[in-house]
Amino acid sequence: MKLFTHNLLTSSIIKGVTKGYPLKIVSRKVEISEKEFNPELIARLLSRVEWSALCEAAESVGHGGDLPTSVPENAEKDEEFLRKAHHVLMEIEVVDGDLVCPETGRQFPIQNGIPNMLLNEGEV
Amino acid sequence: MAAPRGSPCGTQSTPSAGGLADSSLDGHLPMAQLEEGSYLCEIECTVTTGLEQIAKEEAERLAGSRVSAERGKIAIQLQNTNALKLLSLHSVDNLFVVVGRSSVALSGEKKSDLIQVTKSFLHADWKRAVDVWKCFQPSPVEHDLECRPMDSWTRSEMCSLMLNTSQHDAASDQPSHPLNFPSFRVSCHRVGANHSFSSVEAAGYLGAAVSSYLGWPVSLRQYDVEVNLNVDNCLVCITLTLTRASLYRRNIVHFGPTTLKATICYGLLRFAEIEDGEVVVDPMCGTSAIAVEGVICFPGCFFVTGENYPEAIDRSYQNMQPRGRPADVVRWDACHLPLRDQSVDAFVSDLPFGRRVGSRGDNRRLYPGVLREMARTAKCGTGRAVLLSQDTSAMSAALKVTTPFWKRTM
Repeated sequence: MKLFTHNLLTSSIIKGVTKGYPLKIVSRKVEISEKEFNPELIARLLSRVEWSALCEAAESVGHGGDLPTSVPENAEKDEEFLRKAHHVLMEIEVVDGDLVCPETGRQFPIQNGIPNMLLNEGEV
Repeated sequence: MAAPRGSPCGTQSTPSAGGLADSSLDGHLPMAQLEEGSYLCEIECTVTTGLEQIAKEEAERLAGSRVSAERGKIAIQLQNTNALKLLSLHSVDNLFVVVGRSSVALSGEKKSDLIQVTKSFLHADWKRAVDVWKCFQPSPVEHDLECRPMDSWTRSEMCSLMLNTSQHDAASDQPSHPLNFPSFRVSCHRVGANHSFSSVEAAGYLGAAVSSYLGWPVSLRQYDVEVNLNVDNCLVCITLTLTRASLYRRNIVHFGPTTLKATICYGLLRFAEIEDGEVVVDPMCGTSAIAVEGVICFPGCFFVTGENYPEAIDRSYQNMQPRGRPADVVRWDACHLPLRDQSVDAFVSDLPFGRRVGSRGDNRRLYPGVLREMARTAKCGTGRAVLLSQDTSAMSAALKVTTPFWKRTM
């Protein structure tokens, strides 16, 4: 699971949960691998990213050090910033771990990089 | 508040461009544009019904030349040296080179109609068609294939043919090739209710004529060239098959019971008018066929695909390797998408038809649930969905219930 995908995921679908975003990450296995850098893709995806949630997620998997606390002005032309964003959004994969609902503590397991967000009967 | 627009896609067929022109390849590209030694050829491509317009646009972009479309196929005229480029088209299933086309006068009497149909091909340029066919062979064709009419043969060549043909068994696994001729078979595809002959009869008649006129040996199983005789009422078109394996089987390694053809996946993605930088979601992805095609053809987007069925998740995982692509697989229930509100630009999905997977009864609950969740998570105003389904009644019922959220545009 890449951190871009984590940035979209929420547990607010659980009955009664209002603050299901962002999910906490408990990682047991993280893989870093170089991926082709596409600055236009990263620049456009930035508008879809909740930046503070991304920083929190990157921090929790041990790769938050480099990121600024907010998206700089003219980010789409700032190649150094885009590279950092690319690294965090695309190159970090949580292969094994859990996503945790911030409100209820309910865990959603991640196996082989695939989070299981299926709800139990009582949660629907 | 503006509602996100949705565009379910059923089995649409685009209006025909008025049929293909009679054979006259001169004049569509000015002669000045052709490179020396090259010539114009016409390649016909089969397309899933409903995707003809998408295929026409893709072919026009790739070939830079005139493309005509009719139900189930497109025809591209281009320089013969560029024909191989067409293998990279994503929206077509199979390629054929046109030998010739004509319109025939059918009287309703079988023998004379068969003669009319077969006579039409005698003046076609077989050599050029075979030259194009040779370019598409996986291994280089060893011999220079002969393609000239028998009335230009020498006496010794005729004797050699007769000797070899009498030793040749059409049903054997090792056909001989007298004088370097390709072996062939004829397949006839006929449209029209009032023909005086059957497809099998027409195929046999043309086969005998090709054999007599060009000297090619027949082989029904181990053939080099498949000759197609396409008869659409009184329009006859003869083509040679270029693609041994259909192009739609690319990409996917791990098939499930309902894996969609790559060409249809491409068509659905095109209908969604995806732009760079968008988030595209398939909420019921099966084996992720749509996302696999998506990451290849739309590298500027991020794909998230989801499924609840464990075996489908395993197949998705395999098909989405290597993990380097901007995409992820999530296990989820499509009626409870774990996505933030308004985080998705486009949904593209092949909904369960309720036949091989699920049931019609299930669809009555599933479709409205999915449409509601997609409405919540799609970007207001620009969000869109392209959905494929055969269960039109469940879809209509679901759309009625979710009218405030989705506007149907197809």
